[in-house]
Amino acid sequence: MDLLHNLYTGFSIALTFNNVLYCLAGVLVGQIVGVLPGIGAPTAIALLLPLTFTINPTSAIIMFAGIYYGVAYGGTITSVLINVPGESSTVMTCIDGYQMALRGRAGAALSVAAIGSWIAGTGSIIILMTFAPALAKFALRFGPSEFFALTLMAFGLLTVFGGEQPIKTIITTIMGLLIATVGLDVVSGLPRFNFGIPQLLGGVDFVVLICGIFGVAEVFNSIEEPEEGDLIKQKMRLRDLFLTWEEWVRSRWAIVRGSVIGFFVGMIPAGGITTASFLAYLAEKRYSKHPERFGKGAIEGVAAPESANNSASISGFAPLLALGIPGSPTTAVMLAGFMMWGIRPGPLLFHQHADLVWGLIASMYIGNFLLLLMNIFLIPPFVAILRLPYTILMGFIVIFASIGAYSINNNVFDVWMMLGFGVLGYLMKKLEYPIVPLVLALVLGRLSENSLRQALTLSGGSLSIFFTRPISLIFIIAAILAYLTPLIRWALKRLHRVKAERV
Amino acid sequence: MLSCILLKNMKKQEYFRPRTRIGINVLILIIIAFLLLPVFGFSIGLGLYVGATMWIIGKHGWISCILTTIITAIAIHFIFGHWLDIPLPTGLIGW
Repeated sequence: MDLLHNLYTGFSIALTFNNVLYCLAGVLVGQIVGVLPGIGAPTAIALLLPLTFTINPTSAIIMFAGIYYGVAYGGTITSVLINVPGESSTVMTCIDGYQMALRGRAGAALSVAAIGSWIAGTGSIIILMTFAPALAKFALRFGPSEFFALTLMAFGLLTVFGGEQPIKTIITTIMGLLIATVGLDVVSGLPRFNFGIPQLLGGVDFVVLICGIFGVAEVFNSIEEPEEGDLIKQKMRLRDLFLTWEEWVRSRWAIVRGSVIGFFVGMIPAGGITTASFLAYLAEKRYSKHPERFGKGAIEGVAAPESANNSASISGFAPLLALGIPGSPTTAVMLAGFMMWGIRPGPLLFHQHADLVWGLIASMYIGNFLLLLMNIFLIPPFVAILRLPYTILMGFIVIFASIGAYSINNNVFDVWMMLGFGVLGYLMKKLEYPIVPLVLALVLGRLSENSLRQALTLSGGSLSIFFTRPISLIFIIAAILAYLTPLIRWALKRLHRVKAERV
Repeated sequence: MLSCILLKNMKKQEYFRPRTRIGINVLILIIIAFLLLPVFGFSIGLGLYVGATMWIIGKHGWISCILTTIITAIAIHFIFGHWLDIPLPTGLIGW
């Protein structure tokens, strides 16, 4: 019983006083960040990165994971009570959650979200626990050519899931790749794109970009379009939190379906928790026997997306830990953290840092349980956080972002660069360019370039290395298919239109 | 090249909203604060920035603005500078 033994080790690490404290701090911060609109999980983790220089990496990653899945719980509160999603992952919850609140079932909506999230979270950890080591074992066979093909496929998948306009996704991906090339060339040591500025020789640090593009840009966005909702004032007694039997029957399979969808979407690069909750809601609506109930306070419409975003936030750890490839901005920031602590996630992580991996997995059980308790008994204090004046919050985001950017290299130039990225992020959001591809391209770009160079060195400059190795060939084919998807979609649409015109 | 296609397809949209001006004001405030960082140092400079945004954008009373400035400056100095050992640049005052 290797698994049970590992889990036992994990719990013995996660249950030390220090780590439980970090886990609690993580879920608490996650919950608060989830409630506050305009600041999300990637920003919060990026802003906290400089604080983890001195603490033990295991404790730090336990805290960060707590923030990630805590956010998925916290955003629900504002979605249900004031119809303002605290996070993009809880946008779908607004639709039915707020309607339920209007009908006096706010308590039921919140508790089904908490229970669903807990079931989804715990279930996903069990799958993650068996699946991630297997994935890591499989990935041990990967060479540089496989990793290059894998990143290529990830870029391709970004265009599939990137949104309505694939061209914009491709543009931002290329922008990210360009930013990734800034700095000294790894192989030849020549400076690239530094425009004679010595501070750019080290490259653009990922944390600087995150602080700007998610932190400061969000400040501008929320000033321009303040999200204001009316707080539903309901006295919530403990009794209101219990679900009726009928509500439970309606939501139990929604929770299971949501969890499964969330788990798979969470592992795909560019999938992430937002897409997961979105897809889960749509699926639930399509396969429901009473689709007309959706949008009018259907409890399934709260249970499915809430379970999905939570299980996606957990399954996102599988590619990060086993392959070293992040699928969402949040896991990308965690990867930056791992590099800062001098740990390289990837197939070997399960051997070299087994304590970290299993401590993290065990802490997820604890964190999810803490969140379940918090979300049932501590809702009023979290609602009170919303009364914080936005100008103060805004000021603090700018402070954290500038100190975070500064502390990476102790360099004031980075602070200016952070502000520049903030303005860029604001303009991108305004012009409806997706931000996620830019962020992932910057992180994956370096990995991709390194493995490309290594693979070519191995093969003596011949490209055949990517096509003769079976695993790498599969990834390459998948990547090409992914790039072609928008074209195929467009062609199909065109075909339908022509047919319709003829008829 | 790709952006040319997009520019062609772009619809003329109204990108300026009534509150865009406030956003620009905040940006100007941040730039002023960053320019003044070498003079005041990180802790006092950023504290002043928070106070200034509260006063100009948030229209809070001046007493609460000054109080926030002082508390923020002290908090940054001790939390980041001493507790977390980040060598924050100091200004002319030496903080």
